Amino acid sequence: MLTRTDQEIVQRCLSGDADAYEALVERYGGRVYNVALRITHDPDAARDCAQDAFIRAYRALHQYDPAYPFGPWLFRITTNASLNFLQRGRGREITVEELPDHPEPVEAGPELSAVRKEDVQEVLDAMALLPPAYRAALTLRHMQQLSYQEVADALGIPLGTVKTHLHRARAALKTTLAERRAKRS
Amino acid sequence: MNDLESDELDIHRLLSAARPAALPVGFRDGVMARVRGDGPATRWEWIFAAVLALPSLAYLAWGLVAHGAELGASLSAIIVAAQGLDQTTGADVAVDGLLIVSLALVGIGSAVAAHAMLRGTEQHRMIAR
Repeated sequence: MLTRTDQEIVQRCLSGDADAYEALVERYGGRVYNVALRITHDPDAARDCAQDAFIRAYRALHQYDPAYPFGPWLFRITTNASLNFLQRGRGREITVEELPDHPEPVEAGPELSAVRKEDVQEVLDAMALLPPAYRAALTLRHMQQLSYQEVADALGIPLGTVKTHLHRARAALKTTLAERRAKRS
Repeated sequence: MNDLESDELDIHRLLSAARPAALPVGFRDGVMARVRGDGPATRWEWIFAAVLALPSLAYLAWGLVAHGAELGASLSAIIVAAQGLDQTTGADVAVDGLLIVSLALVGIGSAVAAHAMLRGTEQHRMIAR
């Protein structure tokens, strides 16, 4: 079966073939859902946000510029939908201003060198404690493997802000992980 | 991903090793059901509005062409009467049932068109947010 590019599928959708959109849902469904899941930290909310993102993207296909990759554009809509959900529905979320600019440096010890299932779960749990904007940046950068520029495009913020967010988010993660390990030992 | 910096290698190794969660059952069908039911609904609203309003507008336009002179004279007489200058000379407008029906249909058509337009505007607003 011929594999169509994202841009070709978008073109078909714009020419009235709504069924063609199914290929994009198939192609990006998992990634979109996981982005929403990491930001909302709620499977039901993530499903709603991901579906909402696909519907919004479909309605806005005429605004998509095929000169750019489709994924980051879709992730931007997903991130907006997820952050909007948190703003509307949640009580108080930690804001980015509440985290220190330069947390205590934590040396990366041997415990970070080997990837174990428990370590991964631990870092995901620690990530859930971060402000939503940091979770979004970490998810797009490290779990969806986007470049800094793509993360900036997806979040709609300047490149420098993305780097600052990511630096502070990683530092906060390392601090949290170190504290947890210190408590355990 | 080739722009990884040294200070992000550890976290990257952990986060990139996280297994992605499985897509909920029925996710794709749910999206596609909404996609398939989306575009045509708005399109049908516009068609419905046009079917309601266009014949009535045509009738109103024809009425204006055919009886425009009478209407003009009647309006002038009404203005004169309102100024209290002359109360006797044809200060009235004849309104037939078809005219009322036409105006009602144009009104309903406009309401349907406004709904379709607002829906489009809402979609744009949601995207821009």
